[in-house]
Amino acid sequence: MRLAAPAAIVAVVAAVAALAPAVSRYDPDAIDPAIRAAAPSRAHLLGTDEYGRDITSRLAYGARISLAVSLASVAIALSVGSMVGMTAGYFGGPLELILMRIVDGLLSFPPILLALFVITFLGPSLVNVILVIGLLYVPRFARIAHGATLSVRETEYVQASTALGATHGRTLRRAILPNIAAPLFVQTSLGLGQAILLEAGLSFLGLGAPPPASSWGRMIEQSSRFMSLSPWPVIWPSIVVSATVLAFNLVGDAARDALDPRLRGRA
Amino acid sequence: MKAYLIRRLATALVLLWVVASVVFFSIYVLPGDPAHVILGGMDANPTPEQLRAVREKLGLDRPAVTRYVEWLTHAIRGDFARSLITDRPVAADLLVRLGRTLQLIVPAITIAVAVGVPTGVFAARRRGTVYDPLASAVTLLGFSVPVFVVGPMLVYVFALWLRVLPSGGYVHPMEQPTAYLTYLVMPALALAAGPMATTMRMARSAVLEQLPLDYVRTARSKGLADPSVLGRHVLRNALLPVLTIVGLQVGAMFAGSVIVEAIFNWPGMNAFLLQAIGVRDYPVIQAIVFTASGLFITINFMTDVGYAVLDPRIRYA
Repeated sequence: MRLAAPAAIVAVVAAVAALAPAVSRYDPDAIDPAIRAAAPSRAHLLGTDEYGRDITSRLAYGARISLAVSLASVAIALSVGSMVGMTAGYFGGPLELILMRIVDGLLSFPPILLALFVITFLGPSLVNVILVIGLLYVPRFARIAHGATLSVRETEYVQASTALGATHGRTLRRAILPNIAAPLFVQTSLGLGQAILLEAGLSFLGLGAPPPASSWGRMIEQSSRFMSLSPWPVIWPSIVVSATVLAFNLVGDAARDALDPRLRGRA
Repeated sequence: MKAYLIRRLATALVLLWVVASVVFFSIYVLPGDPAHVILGGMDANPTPEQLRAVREKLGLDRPAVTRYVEWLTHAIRGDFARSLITDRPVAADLLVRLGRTLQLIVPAITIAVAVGVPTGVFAARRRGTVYDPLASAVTLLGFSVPVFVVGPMLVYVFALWLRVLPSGGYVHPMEQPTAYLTYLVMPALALAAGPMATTMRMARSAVLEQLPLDYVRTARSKGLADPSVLGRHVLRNALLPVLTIVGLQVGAMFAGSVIVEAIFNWPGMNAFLLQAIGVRDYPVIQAIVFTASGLFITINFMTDVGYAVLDPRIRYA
């Protein structure tokens, strides 16, 4: 019910992203100065931007970038983070200390600053953005995995697994992982929305996928310089970004409410 | 209490050291000569003279260990050498810029708390009436609409359409106080929007968590009027998670201010950083990342301390 609208938005965005070439009537990079900043019309559903490029097509391809980046980076963060957290929580001892200190160390950098810092060296590109955002979210997943592993470690089924002679790997995979999956899943769904936001922010600063890629953040930044000409090229991507992030956040909230009512209300 | 504080302080210092080390060693992480890394990028092809100049300035021919120790000892004192580009001492510029960034962050966090907390409490008390879902909706919006959307929108409405505020820039507060305020309003608001929403949400749920508890019932049955119950008992407990969130928000504002400073041409520390990144002014980048992270760590530490002060149970953790 309350989930229907956000889930629908997520589905639509995903569909548009996947089918971008099919959905766009125009090449997103095709410049046509004659029709700069045109109002929405039958030819161009949402109008054109300050270079005459069709906004709808650009938004569609931008969706690709946003979703690709957020999915890939969260996937990286999830896999690396939960491995680190589980290992630290399971084996304990000095390994746990070192690993979690590294995690804390990563958390000590203000997020965008770390992203800026890394991209300075690596250069702006799609892959680098994915890596950086993934790196930024590793600590969150690591912490959750670590905490969850600690609470699951002493349970009977884990002890039984070890007593039966299972290797560490097997115990981790079969006994621990399924039981820490819930909070990790919640963090994943929350992380997707945030990753989109972060990617858009980085593109806005010019550090995302380089032009002519039509990432939403970049569209907003470029068009904001021509706002006196027409605000619409800024408004459309703004609405799209906000709505998408909102939808992902709501879906994430619903996932959290469903799986772990204790976390409800936490921002 | 003391043991807890000392432990937290030690952790903070260790983290600071880790940050300093990461910042220092970052140029060695990439394959290749550090001078090349600093001057390079995807397309740059530095000339031998440029490489030599960078090496000289940063003293890259000296052994890394010596430079590392030097970096650590200098950084603690706030001595960040000189800019590669302008050759001015970094520390002086950094201080000025930091001050300007703080001029954004402090008002923004004040607005966020001053508006967010009372609204959240209000929404909690009015649960079930029309105000609550309204507040939730506003919160959700503030939460999801990014800074770089709020910013340009504010610029459009107030600077381009209504023409009451300048679209960006900065004047010295001492020289032109009224003009300064007009330059300050929009960036501070843009920066405050997200944290205000988060704070409101947190305040609301924190208060809601407290209301069904026994001591509230006791206080009310003692005859205490609702405002007293709220003020003297509930808030003390509810403010705990709010405090944590506020601490987190201040940290998040460092990130937000990067974008705000870019949008509004506010010459703060983050604008300085973006500039330095553009021209690969490594000493400046190093100094800013270290300082910002240091501040971040300090804020987290102070949040923890505040937490311990408010909730005696934490002190024994």
